[in-house]
Amino acid sequence: MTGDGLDAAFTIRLSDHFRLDIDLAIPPGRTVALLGPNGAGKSTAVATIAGLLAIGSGRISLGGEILDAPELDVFVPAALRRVGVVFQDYLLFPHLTVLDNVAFGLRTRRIPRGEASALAHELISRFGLEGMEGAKPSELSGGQSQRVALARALAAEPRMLLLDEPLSALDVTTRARMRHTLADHLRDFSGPRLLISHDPTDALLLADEIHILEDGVITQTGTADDILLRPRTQYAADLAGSNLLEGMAHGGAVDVGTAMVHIADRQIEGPVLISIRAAAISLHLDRPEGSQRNSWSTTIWRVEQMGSRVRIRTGPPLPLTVEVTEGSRGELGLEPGRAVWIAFKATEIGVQPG
Amino acid sequence: MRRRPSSSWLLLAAVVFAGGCTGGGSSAGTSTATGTIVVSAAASLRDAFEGIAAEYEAANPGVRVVLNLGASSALREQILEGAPVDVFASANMANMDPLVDEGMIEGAPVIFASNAMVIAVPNGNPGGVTGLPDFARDDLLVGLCQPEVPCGSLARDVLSSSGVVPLVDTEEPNVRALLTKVEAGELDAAITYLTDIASAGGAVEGIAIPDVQNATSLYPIATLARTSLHAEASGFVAFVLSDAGQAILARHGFTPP
Amino acid sequence: MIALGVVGLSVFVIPLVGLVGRVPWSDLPEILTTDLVIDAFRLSMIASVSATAISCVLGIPLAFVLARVEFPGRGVVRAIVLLPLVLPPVVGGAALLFALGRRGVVGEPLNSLTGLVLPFSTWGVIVAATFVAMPFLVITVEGALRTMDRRFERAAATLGASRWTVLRRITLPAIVPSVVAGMVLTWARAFGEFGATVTFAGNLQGRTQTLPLAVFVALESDRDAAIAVSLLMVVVSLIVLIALSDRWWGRVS
Repeated sequence: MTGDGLDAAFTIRLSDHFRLDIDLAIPPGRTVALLGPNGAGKSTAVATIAGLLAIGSGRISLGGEILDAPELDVFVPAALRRVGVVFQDYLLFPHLTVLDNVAFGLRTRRIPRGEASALAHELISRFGLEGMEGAKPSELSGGQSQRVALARALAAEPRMLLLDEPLSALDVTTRARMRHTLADHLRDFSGPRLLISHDPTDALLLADEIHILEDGVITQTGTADDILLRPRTQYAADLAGSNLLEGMAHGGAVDVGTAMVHIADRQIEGPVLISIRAAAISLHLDRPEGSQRNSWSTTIWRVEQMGSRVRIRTGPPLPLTVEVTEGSRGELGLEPGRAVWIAFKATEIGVQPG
Repeated sequence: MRRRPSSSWLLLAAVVFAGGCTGGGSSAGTSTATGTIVVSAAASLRDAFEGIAAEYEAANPGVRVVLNLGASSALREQILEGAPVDVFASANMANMDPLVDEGMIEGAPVIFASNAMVIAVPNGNPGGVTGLPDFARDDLLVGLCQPEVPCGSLARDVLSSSGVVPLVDTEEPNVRALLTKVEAGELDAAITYLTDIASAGGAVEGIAIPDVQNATSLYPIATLARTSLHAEASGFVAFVLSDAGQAILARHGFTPP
Repeated sequence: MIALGVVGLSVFVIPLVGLVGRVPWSDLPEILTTDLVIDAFRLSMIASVSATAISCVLGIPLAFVLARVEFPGRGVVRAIVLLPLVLPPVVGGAALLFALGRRGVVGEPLNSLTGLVLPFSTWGVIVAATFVAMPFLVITVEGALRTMDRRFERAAATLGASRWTVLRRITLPAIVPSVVAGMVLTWARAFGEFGATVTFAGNLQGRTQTLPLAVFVALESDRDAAIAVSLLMVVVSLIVLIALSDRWWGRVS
């Protein structure tokens, strides 16, 4: 379908217990994120698309050229694929200078030293790294390393970009800053771009389309909004900071087993998935006044600090994840074991057929 | 009140003293002594002395003989450095003299055997060696013992008295190493002791050297003054000099002194 | 800890002190300039340096095969390569003699074809030294290849590097410290080799008598010369080891 883009539909079996099933297509100029927890198979996906690992069955093609098709006995090794990879730890060659690192992909294509050097200089300026040409990777900061890694990948004039956890090695503040830099550079690249990450913010902010990978299987695809508002798995729901429940809908109420949740949609019937954002649930010390259709008394099970937000897990009759501010936690004295009332509006509940 | 030692104590004491006592002079080869003696002997004496040691041990059940074989010069150095040796049998007087000078010898050394030199060649004589002049041939691989050991210095005496200037390819540290290479065919000729041909048991052939050019080695033997086992040590020396010992030596190619 | 360390150090220092204490200082220049010593020094340097060079040329590819190529019996092959480390050198020399001597399994055909005779020649000294010393290089380089981070090689592949380019620009530079360390060990072992040399190559001044052989020979007749030459060997070895110690020890560890 995408003559110029990446077409990857394949399976690979790594062991008795692990199998990776991928089916994605990326047109040129689009960024797709492969998002999933550790162990989901993300690094295997990187290795297979980069050409460092052969698939078991299926096909990978890029720009119309078949890169890997076991049934056709075709396998193009990494060195010939022109897939530019930015690795998680950057993997800048420690014994080469920044200039030689960036020029590496040019020299491997027999471009003479002088010309390669000039092109590398250009890229180095474009990435704001003038003056660092002679430095060794060990002398660079995290942000600088990331830019050199990207410059090195781009210098080789790849047909697509594959970024493996490009920001996870950075500290929080640098990461936020680099996310914007990365977004700019990705936009400038005209080919397909595949971003692998476990951090939802990266995916949500950098990608046009997100594929969620769990246990070797893609469990949901869609835009950021699709995922956030209509998560289909617990992982996706957790990403969105949501609670995800399965139940039977009838006449505006969903039976989730241990409780009845009132929803706004009175028409929908049958098995459904409902999601309630953690921030949309409120906690009270006494039975709350107000228009919330859903409220009950429960106890606090677990309290977890997450930056300036606090995640609280409440207990029976229906365990839910609730997000409150630091202030509220202090004010209400929210500690494990405390009896509280929770409440949330029917209109805050996302419903999709299960 | 002091108790008189009981008779059983006296008996035990007597046995202990008797055991520790060095036995008196003995006829050749037998004594009532026990212990282990270390005999340093020139490498060329290996086979002969192994036989002699075995017979000596058989005749003297309490005695064990440990043979320390090597180049006489190396053995001499060991003794000078204080090695705990009881008997020294050297391949020449040159290596015995320094010990005599240092007063390390009990009594005087006695010559117990003599050994002449011979040309040793591999079986089948692949180099076609006929005599000493062949040692000057360029196309042959020939070896001698290194000049610092008796075998080497004697070989050089033999060659110079016959007027041959040899083209030597190796100077082995001892006779055994030299013989091994001749046996293996890696050397075409070497000059060794006459006894070595016998001890090689058919693995090498010998070509005689004319008596007038030949050199003879006189082998002295002596007990070390430092030995703590005088009876055993001198008993061993006596056995070497006895008819039995001499017969064993003759069997291995030595000639009487 | 420190006390034990000092005791450990004394194991090495005390024999050195013993040697230095007996050096005939006044005769030293005279002894060290004799033909015997000069010849032995020249042969030792030729043999040890050649053995190191040959070990690199043959040993590095061998290390690659052992580290990177999976084949049945690889463990056995590795054990055979390391055998000279365990065998008494004289046994090694005897094995070389029976294999490469004039009547040897390989030596005999070699001799009839080319007229080449290895025993009692300087080449024989080099062969003996290489035999005992090469395992050091192989084991050091193989260890480096096994423990190096292979991800850099993969990154290079994604940048279009062929297998030869990866080897040349990524792998070999990564193992250079270990190769240097291996070369130092190899040189040191070859320099000090005695048993295999005397058994295989024999002993002749100017042709096969290396410094260790000269010491051995001198011990029997000229004690002072033996000590002087021993001192020479110690000094040369210390110079090489110290000159390279920071370079290779720092980088390997």
